[in-house]
Amino acid sequence: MKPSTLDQKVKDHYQQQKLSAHKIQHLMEMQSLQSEKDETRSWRQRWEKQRRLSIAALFMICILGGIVFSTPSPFDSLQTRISKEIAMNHNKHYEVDFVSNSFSQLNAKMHKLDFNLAFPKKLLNSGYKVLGARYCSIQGGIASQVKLQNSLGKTVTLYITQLTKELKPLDSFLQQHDKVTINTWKENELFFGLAETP
Amino acid sequence: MTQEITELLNSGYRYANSLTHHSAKAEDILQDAWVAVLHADGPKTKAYLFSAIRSRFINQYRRDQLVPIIPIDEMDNDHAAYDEKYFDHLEYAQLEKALESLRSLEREALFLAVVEGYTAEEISKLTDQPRGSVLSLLHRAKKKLRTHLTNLDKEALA
Repeated sequence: MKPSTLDQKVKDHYQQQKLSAHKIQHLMEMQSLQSEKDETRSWRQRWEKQRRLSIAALFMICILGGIVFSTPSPFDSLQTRISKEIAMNHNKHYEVDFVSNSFSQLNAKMHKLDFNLAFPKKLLNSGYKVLGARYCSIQGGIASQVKLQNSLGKTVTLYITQLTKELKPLDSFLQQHDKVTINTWKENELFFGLAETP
Repeated sequence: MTQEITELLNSGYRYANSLTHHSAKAEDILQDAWVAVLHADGPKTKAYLFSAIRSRFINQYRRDQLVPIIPIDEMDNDHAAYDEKYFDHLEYAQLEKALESLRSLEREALFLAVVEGYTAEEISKLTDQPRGSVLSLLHRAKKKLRTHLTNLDKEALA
C-alpha cells in the first residue's frame, strides 16, 4: 500500500505523541522495583527450598536413627543383645502371673518350663525374697522372669533360662542399658540375669 | 536498553491513545499493562505490551462500546476520488478532532497499519479479528477521516 498524504499526517500525528520524561522515569522505576522484588523473591524461594530440604533430611536422619537404635543390631555381641532384651523386659514392669514366695511352688505352677527354677547361690545371702514370676523369653528360648524384693523393699527382676549351647560360651558380664543394670552369670546348667534400676 | 524501553513505552502510549483517544486514560492503561508485563516477567516486546494494553482497554470499555463490524462486501471503494494533496496543510487540531470522530476499533486499525506498519494479516492476529474485518475497519476509518476533514475545511471557509 503506497503511503498517502493522509497516512503520513496520521503517522506524524501519532509519532509526536510521547510520554513525559517524568512518566517514563516513573515507569522505569517500576521496572527496577519489580526486578529487585523478583531478585528478593528468587532468593527467598531458594532459601525456603533449602530450608525445607534441610528439615526433610533431618527428619529422615531422625527416623533412620530411631530405627537403628530401637532395633537390636545383628552386629551386636550376644552379651549386648541379651542385656538389651532383659532391660527392655524389665522396663515394661509387667505384673507377675504366678504369685508365690518359693521357687518350689513356682516350679509346680510353671509347668511350661523345660527346666527347674532354682534360687541362685550367688544371691543366697543377699536377703532377697520371692514375690512371684511370669513366663518370658531370652533369645528365643523360654525363660522365667522372677520378681524379687530386698529387705529395703526394692524390687529387682531375675531372669532364668536353660543354659543352651548358644549361651554356654558366655562369661559373666555386667552391662547397662536404658538405665537398667544387668548382671549375668551361669550356675548348674542355668543362665541367670539380674536386672535392677537405681 | 533504556532507550529501547523508552521507545517501547512510547509506542505503548501511542497505541493506548489510538484506542482511548484520551491521553490520561492512555497513560493509565499503559501503566496497568506495564505492571502486568513486569509482574508476569513477560517479554518486553511491542506485541506483548500491545496485547496487554488491548485486553485492559476491552475490560474497561466493554465490547459493546466498540465499533460494530461491517462485512467487507458492503464497503464502497470511492476513496480514490479524494485528492490527497488536500490534506497537506492539515492542522494538528483538525486531525485530532477528525480522529475523535472514529470509533476505537477504527482508530486502532488505522494506528496499527499506518503508524506501526502492520499488515492486515498481522493486525488480524493481534486483535483476534478476521482479516476482512480489519480491512473493513481500515477503509471505514480513512473514509470517515476524509469526510470529516473535508467538512471541517468547508466550515472554516464558510
